[in-house]
Amino acid sequence: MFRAVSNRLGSIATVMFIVATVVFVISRVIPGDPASVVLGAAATQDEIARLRIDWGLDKPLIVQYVAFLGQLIRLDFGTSLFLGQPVAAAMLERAELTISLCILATLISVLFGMPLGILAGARRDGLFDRLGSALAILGASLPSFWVGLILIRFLAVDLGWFPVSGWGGPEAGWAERLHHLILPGVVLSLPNAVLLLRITRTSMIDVMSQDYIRTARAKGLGPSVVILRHALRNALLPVVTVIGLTAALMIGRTVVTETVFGLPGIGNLVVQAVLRRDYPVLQGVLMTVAGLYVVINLIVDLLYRWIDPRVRGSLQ
Amino acid sequence: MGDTTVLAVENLSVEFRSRRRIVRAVSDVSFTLKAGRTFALVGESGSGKSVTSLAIMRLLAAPAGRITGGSVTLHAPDGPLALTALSERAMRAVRGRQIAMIFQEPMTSLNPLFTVGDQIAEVARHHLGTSRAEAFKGAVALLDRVGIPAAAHRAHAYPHELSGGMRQRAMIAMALACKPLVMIADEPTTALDVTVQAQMLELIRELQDETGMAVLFITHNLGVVAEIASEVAVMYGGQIVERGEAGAIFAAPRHPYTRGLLDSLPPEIDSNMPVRAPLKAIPGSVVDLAALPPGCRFAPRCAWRQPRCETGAIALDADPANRLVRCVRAQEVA
Repeated sequence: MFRAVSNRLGSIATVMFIVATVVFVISRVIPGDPASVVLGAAATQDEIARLRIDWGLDKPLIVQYVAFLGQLIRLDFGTSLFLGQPVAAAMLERAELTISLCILATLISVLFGMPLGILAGARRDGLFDRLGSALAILGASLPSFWVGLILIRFLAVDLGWFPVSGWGGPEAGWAERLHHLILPGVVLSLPNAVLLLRITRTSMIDVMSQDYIRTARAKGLGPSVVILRHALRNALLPVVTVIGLTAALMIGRTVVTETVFGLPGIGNLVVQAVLRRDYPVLQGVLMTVAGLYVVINLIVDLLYRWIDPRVRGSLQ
Repeated sequence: MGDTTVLAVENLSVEFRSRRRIVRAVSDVSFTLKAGRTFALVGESGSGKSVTSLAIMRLLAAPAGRITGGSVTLHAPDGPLALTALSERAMRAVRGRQIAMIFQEPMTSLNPLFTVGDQIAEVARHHLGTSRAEAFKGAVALLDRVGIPAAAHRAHAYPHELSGGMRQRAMIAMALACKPLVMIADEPTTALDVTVQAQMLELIRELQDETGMAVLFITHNLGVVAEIASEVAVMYGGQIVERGEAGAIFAAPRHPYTRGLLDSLPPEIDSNMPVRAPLKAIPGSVVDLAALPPGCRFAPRCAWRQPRCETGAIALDADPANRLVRCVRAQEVA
């Protein structure tokens, strides 16, 4: 276990270095200049040049790149050009909201997608399989911003069951926050739930046709034991991977959801950073998301080892 | 005890239906299993032998596969049970408890995520309500009995950590867990090395002597049949074409198909034989079960074929020695 983790950490460092390079390049090739954004249309060339010197943007790209890497090693993302606060602090302020939203959406997609997928796969072409397929097509073809607006229109505005936007502010209790986050959570979870349903179904169908399922039935075990004990654990391997990867990708998709529901989270921070060419914030957020992605992948690997004895011996 | 019937299959028929066609996988098959004896079902792939065994266990893939006629009766100690009429729930109490089954592929037939000890213990826990610790102890004893060295240690192994022969031994141990009346062995040695095959046959024979269980042995390998079976039924195209004492059938096959199967066996290796004779294969290919001919199903491949073979169904007739043969020229073939 310890060796598996330590071996992984080496490759994680390499991955993060590559990510850092890509992030730096991407943020600098976006056309536009933060100094002219901040100073407005009336600014003179002189003023703009002075601000660029203040921010270190006049230096050659390679010098900026090395400085950026140096900061990263110290886990320092620098200071936002616009917010007047360190990037880490700006992210932390918004992280709680985004992370709660992502966890909620992951829970919704697992609770909805997996059981339906299991039922659909265990009885192929049965009632749940048909129902699941219909829902999957529906879910996959509806864009989340549209679903979000529709839910706001009917459930929040007309029926008043949910708040229209926001998250209740920093003083709100957890119940009130949850109430605010349910609609965005549902919207964010939708594509994941559909994907999870389909992956679980396919995996279950594959497993149910295996010889060891026939053996389990030949032992006289009932359908619930066969499905839940013998089939599900085998079917879980690809499902765990998908849960992990979609949970990580979700952070990127919060951009749209947070905009639709007026939530001041990380997604919102990214949108502002892109619009204003706030390089440190952009770099900080992208690095953090990439880091989370890598960490979630590591967790998935470890889960694999826990589920499948065949992987335990070979991952070292 | 030798002649106590424990399982009677009578006129069993099985069909697989899909939207476009009906496959008649098993037609009118009858035989009985006796305590302490081994009955072999022999045939090529697609002859209906495995489907027959799955039908006895009522494990046909629903809803496509259906028993369309006949009956299977288990003569349990507390009275006969008509398996074909049981509810699925009652059938589950028979599977693994009264009738156990082992399969061809010992690798894929064991669940890769559970230790073999757990998988064996599961049978006793399920049917007899044995406690976890007690059942695991029982599993270790069974593994020891089927000849797995260091059984207490191996019980904690996962299937991928065992060799093919050991996995099949573990499958046999699982089948023995509730001391069943009948063990169905569906090609249990086919996937194993020849040396391991012989050990496995020996083990099954030993266990049979010990427990008095009846064995239904399904194979395409006539050499194996000669080793283990007292009675044989040869299947072709879903029908039994010849049935009788194993020794008698090997000595004098009466059906052209049986004869073809025996002729296609490689001859015993003889150092005096200067030239290797070519193997005699049966010409043609297996009959299509979705488009059965009106007459004898083997006729298109048969060297003894006559016009009357192709007009009407051929009956399975008994000769004085109680041998059943489905051929109009049985006396001439012999």
